[in-house]
This record gives sequence, structure tokens and C-alpha cells, in this order.
Amino acid sequence: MKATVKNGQSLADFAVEHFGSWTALIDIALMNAIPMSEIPQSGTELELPEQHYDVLMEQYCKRQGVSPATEDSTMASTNGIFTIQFTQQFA
Amino acid sequence: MARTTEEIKQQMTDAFLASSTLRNAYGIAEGTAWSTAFSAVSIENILLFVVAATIHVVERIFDQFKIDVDEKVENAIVASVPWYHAKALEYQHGDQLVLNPDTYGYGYAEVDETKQVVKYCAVRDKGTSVQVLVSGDNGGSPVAFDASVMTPFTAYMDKIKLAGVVLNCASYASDHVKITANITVDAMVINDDGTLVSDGTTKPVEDAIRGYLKGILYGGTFNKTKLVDAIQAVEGVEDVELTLVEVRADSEANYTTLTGNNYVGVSGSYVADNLSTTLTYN
Repeated sequence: MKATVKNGQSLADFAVEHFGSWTALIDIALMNAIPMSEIPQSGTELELPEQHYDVLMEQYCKRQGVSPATEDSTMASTNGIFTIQFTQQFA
Repeated sequence: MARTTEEIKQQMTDAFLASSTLRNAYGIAEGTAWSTAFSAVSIENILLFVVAATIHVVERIFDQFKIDVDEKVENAIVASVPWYHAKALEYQHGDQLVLNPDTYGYGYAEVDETKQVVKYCAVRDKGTSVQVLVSGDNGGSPVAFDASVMTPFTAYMDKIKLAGVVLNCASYASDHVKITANITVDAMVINDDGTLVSDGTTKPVEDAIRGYLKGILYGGTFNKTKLVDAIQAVEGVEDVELTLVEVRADSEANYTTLTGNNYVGVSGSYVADNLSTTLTYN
């Protein structure tokens, strides 16, 4: 199964959107032969592992349409705890 | 096997809370749970998570590294007797071999166990050549292949073998063993025709002999002592006297008397002949 990377999504974001768990990024990187720290181009199709990592979170993310994109500088707001630059300031 | 992030973090928090210095510094009472002492979004919790996640990734990388190394070792394996044995069992009837440009070895594009018809294999290093004995399976017993299987199988082995090695691939019907023996039995358990008193049909001694022959590892050796042990293990058997053991390959018409204790058959497997007439019970 394949899915498309959205603008500003890191592999961890992509993993959370589709599996509800960042740990899926390791298998995604391995399957697609790309580094784990890669920020894929928007629109890139990536192969997805045939397994579940956190079923509850996966269902939650799908139900709520969770689609993080931490590298998207055009976003007006963020759901993160901290600002983009990690300081003592909360977002 | 890589630990999960949760397992790693649990070990870290356990160690943290076990330290009286850290507990005192934070004013945490002994026995307090981590989740009670620290918020899920506390800097301590997040830092420990980051470290645990990093360790998890490193452990996963090492797991993958081990898999990659194992794969390389497997591909670089010297064509030893066990290697020929494993490769013979991997033969897929009707499939074409594909050259792997990385290893210069041949293999199948896709493994299909339903096409793996070779169920028994014995490889013998004959010094100047390597003998490969193979058989199919019929009800748990070896059955010889005809030319429709042996021709493509031999072509397969010739292709994957180490260049210059002389291979001799063959498939024969089982060797025949004729066992003449006097068996002293407990008359309350076994009748004088070899059947069980309890049911009148089962012949436990004949079953034990067939079981022993079937249990010999394919390509292995027939051993008189082990045969006697197998018969003596039958309930109701008190003594066994082997008077004559004769053997012949399936292609031979006449039996040869086995004078020694062992016999290595040409086919790799053995069947017993005429047990109902060669065993005497008293």
C-alpha cells in the first residue's frame, strides 16, 4: 500500500498520520530506502508497512484527520506544545 | 532484538526513582510512581522520552545491520555438503533460475514451497565427486523420482553448483532388507503369528521394524543393533535372535547377506521385505 507525503511532512509526521506512531518511520525509511531524517518532497508516494504499531492511536488519527506537518512554515498555527524554536516559551 | 521505547524509558524512570540523590533533589517520596511525580509534558519526561526513542532507533539500526550481515554471509557461503543439501531441497519443479548479479549465484525469483518436490535429500562427498540422492514423499515415505523430475533437477544442480565440481544426482527406490529372526514373546501379549492378543490383527513387531527403517535419516545407515533395540522395545517381546539379515538395492535381483553390523544403502532409504514369513514367534 502507498500513501502520498503532504507539504512539510517529515517521515515522523507521515508515520503518525498513517500509523498513529512515530516508530513506523523506521520501517517506512527502510522500505523506501531513504534516511530517517529525510523530509520528502510534497507529493512523493511512499510504500507503507503492512503492520500496525498503535491501533488505538492509528484509529484516532484517522478519525480526527490528524495530519502533522512540522516543516510547513506556511501554517498559521501549530498544535505543538513548543514553538518551532525550542525555548521555554509554549506555543 | 530492539527494545521498545516504552521498555527503555521504563528502565530509565525506574533507575531515576531508585536514586535517593535524585529523589531528594526533587523532593519525591520513596515509592512514588513516575507518572505521579512528573507531568507528561515536563521537561524531564520529554528528555527521557527523547533519549529512549534515540536508543530505540539505534537498536533497530543494529538489528537491521545484523540482518544485512547475515544475508551477506549466507550469500557468500562456501559450497559445502550442507549447502548442496539445502539447495537440493530448494529445487522448484518447473521454475527457471535467475542469475543474481550481486552474488553471481543462481536462485529463484520467487520462493514457492508448493513446487519444492524434493522432500528427502542426502549428499555424500565421494572425494572426486559429490553424490546427491533425492526422493519425493508418498505418505511419509521416500519415493523415487522418474526422469521427468530428475532431468530438470540435475540441470538445476549443475547450474547452481560450484564450477568444476562433479555432481552425481540420483533417485532410487528404497533398498530392501530381509530380516529373519526368532522372537521370544510373552504369550499373554503376542500370539504366535505375531498379532496382539488384545485385538488379533495388529503386528507390533512388524510395525516396530518398519518404524525403525522409516526413522533412519535419509542417506543414513541401517544398523542391526538398533533394529534389535527397536524390536525389544515392543511390549510383550522377551528376546530377539537375528538369524539372518539380507539386503539388496532395488535394481538388484538377489539379496546379499549382511555380515557386518551396518549397511549403507544406495538409495538412502530402506524397506523391509516379507516380514510375515521371515519372523518366527515362540
